[in-house]
Amino acid sequence: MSLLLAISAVPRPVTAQDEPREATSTVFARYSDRILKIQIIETSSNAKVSIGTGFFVSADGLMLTNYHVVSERVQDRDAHRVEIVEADGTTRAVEVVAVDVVHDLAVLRTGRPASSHFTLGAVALRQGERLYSLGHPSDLGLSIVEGTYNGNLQHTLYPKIHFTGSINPGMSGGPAITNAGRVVGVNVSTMGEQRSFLVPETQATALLARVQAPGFTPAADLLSEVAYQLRVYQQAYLGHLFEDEPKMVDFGPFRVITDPAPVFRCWGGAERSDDRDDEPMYHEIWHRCGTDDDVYIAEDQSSGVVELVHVAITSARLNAAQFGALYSTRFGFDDTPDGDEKHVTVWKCTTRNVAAAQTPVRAVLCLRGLKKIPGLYDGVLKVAVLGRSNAGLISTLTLSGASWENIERLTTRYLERVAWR
Amino acid sequence: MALIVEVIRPGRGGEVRERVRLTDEPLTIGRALDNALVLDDPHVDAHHARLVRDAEGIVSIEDLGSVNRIETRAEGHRDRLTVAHGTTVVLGRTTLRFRDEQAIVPAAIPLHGVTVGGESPARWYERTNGRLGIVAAALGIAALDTWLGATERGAASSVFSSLLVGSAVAIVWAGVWAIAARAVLGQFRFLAHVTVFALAVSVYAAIDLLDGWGAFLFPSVTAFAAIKGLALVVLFSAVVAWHLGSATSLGRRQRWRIGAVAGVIVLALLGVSGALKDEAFTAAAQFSGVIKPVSTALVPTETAEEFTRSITDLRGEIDSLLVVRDR
Repeated sequence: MSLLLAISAVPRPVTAQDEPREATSTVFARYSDRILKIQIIETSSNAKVSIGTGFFVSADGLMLTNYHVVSERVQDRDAHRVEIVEADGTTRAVEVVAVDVVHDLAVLRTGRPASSHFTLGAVALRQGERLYSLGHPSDLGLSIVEGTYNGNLQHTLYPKIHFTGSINPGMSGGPAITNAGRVVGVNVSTMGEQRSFLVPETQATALLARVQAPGFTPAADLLSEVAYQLRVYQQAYLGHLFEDEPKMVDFGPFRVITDPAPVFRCWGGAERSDDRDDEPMYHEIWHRCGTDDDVYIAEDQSSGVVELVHVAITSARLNAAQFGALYSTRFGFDDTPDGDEKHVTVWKCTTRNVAAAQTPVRAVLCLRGLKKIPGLYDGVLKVAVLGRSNAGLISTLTLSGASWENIERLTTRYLERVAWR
Repeated sequence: MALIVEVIRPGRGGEVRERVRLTDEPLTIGRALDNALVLDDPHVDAHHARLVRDAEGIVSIEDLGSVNRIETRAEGHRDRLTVAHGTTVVLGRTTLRFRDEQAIVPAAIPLHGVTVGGESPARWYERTNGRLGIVAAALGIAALDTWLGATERGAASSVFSSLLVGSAVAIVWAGVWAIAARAVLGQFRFLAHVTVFALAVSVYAAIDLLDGWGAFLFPSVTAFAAIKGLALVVLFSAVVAWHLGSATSLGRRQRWRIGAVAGVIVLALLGVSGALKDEAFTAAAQFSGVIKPVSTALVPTETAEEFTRSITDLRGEIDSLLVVRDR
């Protein structure tokens, strides 16, 4: 799933669409003045590094957009500024006053009154209802896209609306509205081919209410606000992972955790070392469960990705030493997530032989810190079951952008679950 | 004291072609056959020079008006110079070396074995059969090692190719030492050098095996890498000393001293390269992946609580990296 941030404009062939109906042009004419282009300027080159879209939500000029549109300003405040581009092309520097990193929202104070604005509020919708998404795709000018409402997604960490319509990079932060001009959600991401996603209006309403509450002052350091939100949010879903008796599944000669929470999706497969007609040198089966979703922190850096990968290797043909060599090679294989020096430290790992609750294992924990978000780490726990000369299980738990408490807690719980059948 | 003139064949590493003992009579040197010392060198005159002894017995060489004159390494071209034990002059392209007939020559090298002083008889590993045994054992170890690490089909083929590559390396390595030994001592001794290589490979395999078991059984001990490194440097020193034993007539202590110096040089080079290396950022994780398929009763384990404690230390390590970045 890619976010709708336009980095560069590359023209692509456009599929032929039906003639726009009368209603669409009316909607566009009625609401287009509430929507502006947002650009992020790199201050030393004085040129834009990315663009997005924002829309007015109050008469005094508060504007709503995505966190990821303005994340560069939040991450590296001194090197970037945020500007809105008026209809006549003039620009105005604006300030980010609040963010909701988990739901990918931000509120901007434009410092100019809005002649007209959207009023947020609950909208009742049925699946299949027509929606209009507005924004600046690839810096090509304000555009309107028709599509249909398809309810909330099932496998997400936080609510997202499935919008069947072609929203594109640059439209991030623009509104998706009904015929009557009610905001249903905020454009946020797409999987391409009309599979697009919106942040529900309720999240936007909640963030705006915070900004409009009496006595609100913008956080002095939005980055620590981001870190705080990520920690709180993690507690909600990581804190209870593997807590009660998790779902276990037979996996070769082992039993492993599967499908640990509704937000996970699991896939699997079986492979032979070679495809000759007789017994292969070894069999390998795998089972992978992961969250489809993550929280965007910055380019190449996300939070909330949880992945379990189990690999079982069995062999009737290799002798003990040969199996040990194979098992060692597979265990030593580095499958930690990639990273950028700007955002993460190097990995540091601890290797031990541990008497886990059910069986002795070789356990490795690799850890690295997020440089800009204090208190968050990427952690990879890799476990190999010891003691057999012809069968082995390598089980890996990957957590990205997790708090230390969660890494420690989940590591301990995970070690309790690895078992022979 | 009588002097001997040695005629050294041009271009053949100091090989002496003939020796002539000087008498009281002048000795003429040239290409013509009526000379006392005839030199087959087209750059030498028919009557090039002569050796004369004065009343005090001092011997001089005099030029007889030759085209290329008499050349000395230290003083260039000369018409006359006195010669003594150790003097070397060049006529044309032929070198003449003067030696005292009383000069001491080194002890004879025994035909079999490397015994110095001729006291102890050759040990088993100095005899041909012993050496062949060591080479065969090393081949066996290498074959076993490859076979036990083969996880795909065609283990026999990978064993064969690893032996082939190993033998090729051994032949080149031992060949270089043998040729060097031939130049110094005139002894080729190829098998002795192959044996040193075979021994080194076997010891390396043993060090590697011990290191693997150490890393598997005691993953918390971080010293294994350093111990292995040190063991390899000691092995390198030993290899140098063993080769010198076969290639030179140096004494045991001297050989080991040279080996130790070579080891220290390698350590120093490694140290310098380590110090100069800029620690570049890498997103790759490094950990010990060694797993041995043994009964869990033999594997010392920690409790889960102890593991949690060690990963807490890891957090401290990461946090210290973050603090450094902040400054």
